[in-house]
Amino acid sequence: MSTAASAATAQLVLTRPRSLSTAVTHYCPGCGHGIVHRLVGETIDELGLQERTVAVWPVGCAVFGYNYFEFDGCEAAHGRAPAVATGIKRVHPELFVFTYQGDGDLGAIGTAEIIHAAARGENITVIFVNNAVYGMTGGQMAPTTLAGQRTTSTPGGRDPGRAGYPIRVSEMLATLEAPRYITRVSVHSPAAIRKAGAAIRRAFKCQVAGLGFSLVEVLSPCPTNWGVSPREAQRWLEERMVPYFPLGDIKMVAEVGKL
Amino acid sequence: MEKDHEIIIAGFGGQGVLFAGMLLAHAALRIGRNVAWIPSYGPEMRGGTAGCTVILSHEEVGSPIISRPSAAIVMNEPSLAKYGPKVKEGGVLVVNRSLAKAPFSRNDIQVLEVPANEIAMEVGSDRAANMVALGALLRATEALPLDVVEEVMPEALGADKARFVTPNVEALRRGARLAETLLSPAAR
Repeated sequence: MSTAASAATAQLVLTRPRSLSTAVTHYCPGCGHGIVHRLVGETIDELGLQERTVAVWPVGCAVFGYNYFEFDGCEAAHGRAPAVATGIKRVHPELFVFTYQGDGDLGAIGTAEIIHAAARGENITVIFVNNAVYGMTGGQMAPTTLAGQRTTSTPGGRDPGRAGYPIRVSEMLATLEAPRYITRVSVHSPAAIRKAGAAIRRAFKCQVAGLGFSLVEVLSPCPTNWGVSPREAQRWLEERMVPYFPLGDIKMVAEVGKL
Repeated sequence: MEKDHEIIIAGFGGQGVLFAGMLLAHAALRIGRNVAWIPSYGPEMRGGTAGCTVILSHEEVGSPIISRPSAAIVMNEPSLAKYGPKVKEGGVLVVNRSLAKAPFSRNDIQVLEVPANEIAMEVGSDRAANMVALGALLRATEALPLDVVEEVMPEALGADKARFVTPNVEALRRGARLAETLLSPAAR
């Protein structure tokens, strides 16, 4: 096809979501945050939520997440994002409020906050990015670190006799009555990313419909702290993390299933 | 007797800014000087800003926090903008002109313009740019003897990085030699 002809029929099919800013992110090559940020931005656009979104950001690699989106954000102290989100949503229920947290923020220092926000059934959405380590602080063992996994604080591999086994936070939260949708996805392959996008869309719709608490756990690669290449990180995630943290819906009430 | 110094070394994550300060600290300990080293860096695992303060003193160091350094190394442009103006009158500023290209001048301090990355490449890798800048700083301030800094290089690097001892020492010396040529007659 000639250049002129192809220009005439050219159609813009892919662009930056309006909700994503043009700022260059500070994330490492191969990090999952960039992918998850994009999925969030696309979904906010699709559901027309940009004008009324307030995101609550964690302490961790995503601490500056508010720089990467064109909607309002609020920083929270380490682990307290669900509590901050509770305050915002209760005072302004017309806003769309979500937290974005890592596994250290949510599963270690923030254990109390997430359990009680979920137990109270706050009508917020939690995006829980799980890379099985404390990322920002240099790759130490997290509650989600796998048995045998080498980290900077378990250089010989996590020994369950000393340090116990990893916590499946989503399964624990699913035992609570109030949560309406708890699911686990991954971003290690295009197919997985598509499913992750669908889960985020369902969780956001759950809040918009006023149904209650929703949480999407996203397994995410961390080449820098796992000490592997980005490609190896995707493989490690699929082969080692997914068997322990199975993908799929963990709790989904009927009304959410219909969304 | 060498003067006391409050030194700031700043750049981006990965330039070896923290290591350069730690090397000074090791050298100071070797000759029995009181020393404080405190790092400062952002959340980024790669890149971002990085800096450290090194206080070399003949008395006990009461606080690692300083507001105006007696000498500074700035390895990139944001660091030049931030710390260039803060150096005390009569002090020394080493500017890595390979990366910090913005115009900067003060006539109340000694400004040494060092193409640290290029000189480091001659030694074998631009990762040694921090050592070039440090060598220049040491020659200009005489804060610590260069040979003591060279002597503690293996211990500061650690056994697993022993292969960097020789290139680092060479880079230190090149920086010192360049400073020699740059220093105004009054300072020599």
